This record gives sequence, structure tokens and C-alpha cells, in this order.
Amino acid sequence: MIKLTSEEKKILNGELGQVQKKMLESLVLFGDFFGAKELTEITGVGHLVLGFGTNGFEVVAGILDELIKNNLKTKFPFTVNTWPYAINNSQEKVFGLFEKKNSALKKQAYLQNKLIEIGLNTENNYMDAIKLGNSDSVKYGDILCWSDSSLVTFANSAIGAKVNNSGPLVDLFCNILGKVPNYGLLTKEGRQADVIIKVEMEKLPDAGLLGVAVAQKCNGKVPYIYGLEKLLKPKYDEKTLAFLKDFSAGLSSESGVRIFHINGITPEAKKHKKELINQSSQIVAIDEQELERVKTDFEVSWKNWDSKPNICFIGQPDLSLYQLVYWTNEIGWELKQNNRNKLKIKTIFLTNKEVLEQFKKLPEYQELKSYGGKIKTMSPFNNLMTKRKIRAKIITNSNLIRNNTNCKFGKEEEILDIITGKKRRKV
Amino acid sequence: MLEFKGRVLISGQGFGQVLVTRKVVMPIKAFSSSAENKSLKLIFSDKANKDIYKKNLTGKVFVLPNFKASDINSMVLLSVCKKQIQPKCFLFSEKLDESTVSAFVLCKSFLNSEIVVIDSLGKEFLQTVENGDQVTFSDEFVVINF
Repeated sequence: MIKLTSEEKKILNGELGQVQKKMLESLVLFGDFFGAKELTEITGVGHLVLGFGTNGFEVVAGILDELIKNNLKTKFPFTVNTWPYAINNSQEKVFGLFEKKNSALKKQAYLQNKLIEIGLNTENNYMDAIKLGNSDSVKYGDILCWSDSSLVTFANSAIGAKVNNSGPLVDLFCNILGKVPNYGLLTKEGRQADVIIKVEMEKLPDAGLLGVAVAQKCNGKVPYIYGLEKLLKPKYDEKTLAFLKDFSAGLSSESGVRIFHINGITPEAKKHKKELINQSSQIVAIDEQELERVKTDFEVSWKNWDSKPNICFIGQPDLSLYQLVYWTNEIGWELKQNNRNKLKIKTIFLTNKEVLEQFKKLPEYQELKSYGGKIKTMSPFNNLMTKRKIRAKIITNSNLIRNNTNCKFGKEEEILDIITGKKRRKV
Repeated sequence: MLEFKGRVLISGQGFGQVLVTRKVVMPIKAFSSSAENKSLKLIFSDKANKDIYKKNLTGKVFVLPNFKASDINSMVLLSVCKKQIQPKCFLFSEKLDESTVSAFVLCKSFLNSEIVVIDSLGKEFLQTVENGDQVTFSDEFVVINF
């Protein structure tokens, strides 16, 4: 049971108002379930997941109204992940897959305005892993309350912040009250590794796919990974950051594990080395064949397994600027080799508004558009998950999309071959 | 009579008739139709779980391995609880993720939902219980009455 301070007891008794009471009741119920013994102070910014723009919207809006009526704000400004829809271009269709409905857009804008009243950072309201890695907005040892599982994994692992994934709205309550249940990844024991993973590959593998493979081997335990230190940079460059971002997404899409340590690369592994590994840890190897097995086992319920794909989603988590430039160059090269000017299938590159603004300033932006590539600032989850009949055959390099929808996964080189028409290649 | 022990999220006592699926449930696909339309029943609408497809879960004891872990998947539970069409009890064989826990917590704290939630009941429980069985639940204990 969580032991409350006298100040917290007053809140729970309703002395500071009924909404505060309900917020703290929620935190206590949540924390007790996960074995927290106390609440601890949050020391940094919040970050919320916002996929709830449509489902459960009315209830969420009602709860936000209660918070606003009581003038409740977060202790620190908070950020959000990508919205289900890009707010501009409301009438735009996304390759006929789903049309942005004005009603959904209105709901989203309505929700955003409410969040601004509660503390949404109006200048920089998006947060992604690359931005996190390149800024000092979150520091090693910061105690946070977030709810975006892939970014939570990145913050714990690549930055060394202490953050449990808290779930929608509970995260907001924590950030308003300035307190978070102290359990799991906030504790030293919760961050210790129980599985040693040996990556036996000469070349940097597909980050998302490796994340899924590690998740499957870990069975809910924290991994300490050897074998990547020779392929990544301890002082993060853009390639290393992109890898850590996509690895975090792959790992968290397949399991409840929200932290990993990479020998010689991630900060806690650099600082504590083998002290991070529990003595009874098992050792597991992952090689190319294992990655192939993982990929083959992905379930897709296409009626005809070998159907030709006609749409491709690249990204999610949001592509970084480095990745957009990389894809543009790779596509340009492959198209030239294949005597083509345009991509063979409709291809959507998913990023966020801030990265897109930077990308527009580079020559590669026009280049990618000239190939027929579309760059979108949206999250297709809600649409792809809830739409009952999507006839299009969609392929993706994203494990987040693959894991939540009926899209077929392809490794980067496979996707590149298909979209540039290099050869008839099965994913 | 067989007794199983789990971990309580929202406690309560009662009994009821079981509807069970052996496959992980994706709440958005399973519950969105009932959450959005005017129906006062929670009709399970994901064909992927054939064993309970089109069955009415309202007021039943719903047994399942887990919800598919997702940051947003379980938020549809809020609409279900708001309409008061939820099962009376959710019994999960596996451990719940934080987002699902968060949704249930909101149902309890902000919507005053009458709901019991127990997880970690184990594989044996999931394999033993059948559609139509009567179960009794009390705090962390669940009893299948044959």
C-alpha cells in the first residue's frame, strides 16, 4: 500500500477539492496495483500520448473540462506525440485510405485547446526521440511521468531518465499533482538487467525488427545488450539516435519492457557496466537467422499472402531529418539504377511538423516529392485500427504500425526494392 | 470447484456467467461499434476472436488473456463504462499493461463504474474455464463452480 504524506492525505480527504481528490485516488489505485510504496516528486517535463483524439473522446474531454474548471495546470509545460490528423489541409485524402473527417478534426482541435489551458507547451508542443536526444530538456536521472511507450523506452535507455509508462490521463494527473508512484523504473532494482543479449551480426540490423526480437527473448525482463557497441557511436550521432529511436519502438511495441542497456553506448551501461546485470541473468544470442524467423512469424490476415502491395508507410515513430534525407538519397540511387523517375507504389513518409519544416529547407525535399513521395505529419493508427474495411495492401517498415494493424512488415532494404521497382520481391 | 488466485486492480465480490476468449483482445476493434452506437449492449465485434464474436458481454464475467498492449487501445473502455454497458468483471490470465490499468482506473475514479478487475490468474485458469461456467469472485480469488 502507498504510504501518503500528511499533505497527500489532505488531498485524498477532499480538502483541496473533489477533482484533486479523484486525481490522487487514481494515482493511488494505479500505484498500489504496481506495488509502489510512496509517491515521489516529478523533476522534469511531461509528455503525453494523444491517440485518444477519437475513441473515448467525449469522456476525455469531460475530464479535461473538470481540470480546467478548477484552474489545474501541470507543474512543467508538457509535450505530446503526433496527432491522429495533421490539423491543416482538412480536406485532404490520404491515398483514398481514409478521409480526414471535419468532425474528427474539430474534436482534435478542441482537445488541443483544452490541453493548452492545462499546460501544453505552445511553442514546442511535439516531442520525439531525436529532439530529446539533441536537447537538454530531459537529463540523466530526471524523474518523469509520461505515457508514450516508445519515447518512455528511449528516455529511460538512451537518456537515463527515470520514467514509467503511466497511461493516458493518469500521466496528466501526475504532472498536475507533481507526484508519481515510485515503482519499477524509478527504482534501482527495476532498472537492473536480467537477460544478456548477444547480437551476433556484422552489420547494423533493422532496428525495429531487432527490438521485436529482443522483446521476444526477454519475456518481460530488462535486457543488457552486447554486440552493438562496435556498430553505434557512444557520443550519439544522427545514425545512432535514429537506431535507438526505432529500437525503442520495436521493443516497446512487442512487450512491456521499457528500458534496455547497450554495452558501451547507453549512459547507465557506460557508467555502471556489469554492475547493471543481475547474477542469475540468462544469456541469449540473436543472429540474422533469428531476425528472419521473427519476421516470418508476423501475422498478416491478407486473403492472398503474396498479393502485390499498393501502399507503403515509412516511419512511425516519426522519421528524423537524417532519415528523410537518407531515404531520399537511397531512393534516388535505386530509381536511377532501375531507369525509373517515380516510385512504383504510393509511399507515405511519416514525420512531425517540426522535422517537416526543416526538411522543406533542404533540396532533398523537392527531390523526394519529384519521385512521388508524400510526406505526412499524422499518426495513421486510429484510422488504420478502426477502419473496418481497408482494401489496400499496405506494407511498412514500422513495427508500431505492423503490430497494431493488418499491414505487412518489410525490412528497409526490402521496402526500398519494392517501392523503387528494383525487382519483384516478396516481403 | 476450482480456486485461482490473481492480482486485484479493482476489488469486489460477486458471481456471474463466463464468456471466455483464449486470444488477446484488441479493444478498439472489439468494442468501438458498441461504444459509438446507441446500443445498450456491449457486442463483441472483432472477428479475430471467433469464440465470442457477436456475443453480448454486458453484465457478464469476461475472461481473456490480455488486451493488446497499446498506448491508446484501451481508451475505448472509457466510452463503454460511460454507457454502463461493461462486463461486471474482467478476469485476465496475464499481467496488465499500464495503459489498460490507466483506463480501468479512470472508469473507477471518474465514472464511478461498478466493475471488478483481476489480472495474473494464470494459463491454467484460462485453459480451464469455459463459456457458460458460473464463477464467484472475491478480492483476489476466483472460483469456478462446476
